[in-house]
Amino acid sequence: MSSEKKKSIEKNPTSYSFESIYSEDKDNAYSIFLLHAQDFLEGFGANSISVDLNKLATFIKSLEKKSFPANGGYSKSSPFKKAAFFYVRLHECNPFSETINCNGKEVNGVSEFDHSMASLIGFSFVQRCLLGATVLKNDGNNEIIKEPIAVSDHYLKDLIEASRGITMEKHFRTYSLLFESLCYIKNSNISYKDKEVKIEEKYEWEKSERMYPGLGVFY
Amino acid sequence: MNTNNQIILSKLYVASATPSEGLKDEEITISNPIPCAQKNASGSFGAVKNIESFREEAKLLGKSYANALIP
Repeated sequence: MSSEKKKSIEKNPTSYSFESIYSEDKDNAYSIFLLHAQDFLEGFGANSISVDLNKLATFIKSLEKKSFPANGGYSKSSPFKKAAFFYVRLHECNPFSETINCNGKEVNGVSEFDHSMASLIGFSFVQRCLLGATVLKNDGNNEIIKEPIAVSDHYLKDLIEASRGITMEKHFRTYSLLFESLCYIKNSNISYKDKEVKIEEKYEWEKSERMYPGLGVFY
Repeated sequence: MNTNNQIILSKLYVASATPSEGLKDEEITISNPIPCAQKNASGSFGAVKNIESFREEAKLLGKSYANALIP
């Protein structure tokens, strides 16, 4: 990022938003992405980062409002879809030439994946951009996502593994639902409660010794 | 109708509803569905109020990830 751009952001930070990632001014999109990536990796302890600039340019350019793949386009899309588009496109383009490291050492269960850097930077960005996001509901009311997505270390590792080879065509909707569901765990006031598809509560579990704990298999 | 298919379906249901904690005996319940997705719910990401705190938060998040992933 140019020093002029940095000064411009510092001078007028209120004009800066996580929405900037989809800005038509691609300098804004570069800025917010690279600032987050740089600082996140510094905090993580990754002492090197190698980026393929052509792939990065392809990624940033592809974050376009006019071609947003949802009914009603970008302006009528939920923040979950916007986050999913960002996350999945980052994996499709994967501009990072290295896997994640911490002080030069590989991270067990993570660094073996070529896309590990994309997953960690991508998910951390999703966490941040959804916190404080606004959801405009059908009834016209606005709801703010006040609680951040939180996952366990094991979940995070599984997410990285699951994110291998994801594509917009096949996984965009899935990740939108995933981020939405994760958000609702701690922001249940935002979810749509009128109609639920669920198993009837009259069904009773047989909690006997005949069932293996945690498996649900009778013997 | 305690068929195995029903049991497996219900187990997946519960496991998905509690992704960060996994499955525990006492969580064998059908009263905690994943909340329904919004229909036609548009929205936008939050604003960045302060560039310094924006950068500091990214560093802290990085540390948090490292603490979680590195024993």
